[in-house]
Amino acid sequence: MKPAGLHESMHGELERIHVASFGWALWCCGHRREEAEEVLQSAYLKVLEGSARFGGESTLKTWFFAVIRRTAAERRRRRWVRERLLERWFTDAPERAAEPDPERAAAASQASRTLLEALGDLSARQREVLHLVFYQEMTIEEAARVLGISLGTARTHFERGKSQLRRRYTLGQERRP
Amino acid sequence: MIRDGKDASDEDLRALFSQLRREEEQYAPPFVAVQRVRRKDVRWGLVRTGSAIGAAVCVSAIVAALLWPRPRPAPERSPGVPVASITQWRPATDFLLDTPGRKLLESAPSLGLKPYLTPVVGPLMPRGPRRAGDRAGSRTNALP
Repeated sequence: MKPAGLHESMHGELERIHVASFGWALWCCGHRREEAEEVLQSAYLKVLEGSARFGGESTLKTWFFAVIRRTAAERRRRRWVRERLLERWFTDAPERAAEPDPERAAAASQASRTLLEALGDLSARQREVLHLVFYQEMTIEEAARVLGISLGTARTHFERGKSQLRRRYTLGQERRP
Repeated sequence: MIRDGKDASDEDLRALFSQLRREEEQYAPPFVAVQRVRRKDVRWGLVRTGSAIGAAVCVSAIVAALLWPRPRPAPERSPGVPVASITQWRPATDFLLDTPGRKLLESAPSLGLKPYLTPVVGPLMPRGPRRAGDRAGSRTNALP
């Protein structure tokens, strides 16, 4: 199915990076699968509607990852407003963000679980830089473009995040039986 | 094996992240399915948004119609009743100015006029035969 209005080559490119995009959306949504799917859908819709336009300043992957990240942030903000302002007045039990998928967490290998726990202790920015560089195999410069920060800042987050991740991962491994 | 950050290489981290990626990629939904769901969501979202906006407009219109200040019609005058002129109009609190002192002032006699010296228009004494000493034509009602 090729959506109308979307350039054929861009459609093919988006399809090619779809799995990686889902992985990035998953990380932007704290490994909540349903939320990640919705964020990815919203990001595709932005491209379909033309509210997000690829200007060609970077690679399509870098640009689309930035769109996904922005969409996830918007969704977080909307949920925050709903929880704090609206549902507090109208309902007693506001809708909370779903927990990370327990089935998927159980299926993950022990090394992956330890890695996720260690990453959970890092700052969001460090986590994002490490994910983009190691998981998505981007350069630090591309990661900086996705996150909208300078190359120097991205490099600082990368180095600090790496050393902290190693410490946390080693500690996590020692704690496990 | 990852040890302290100083002696470990990035390849170890890359290997860990690659393993995680392989595991997570198995759960990625197909590209087509994501877009199909999205289109349904868009249609339903448009209907829902349109309904919400329509309902809000209706409620606003009703509230505005109820609360809008209407101009009061001018009081109708019956054709037979004459309208008082502004020169004849007297305020409703005018009686407060009617003090006892005011009446007293209005009733005070005016100075400079002697009522007993005022000329009498008609003859006060009956006409009789003239006596000597009477000045002819004198009709002054003078006191002795």
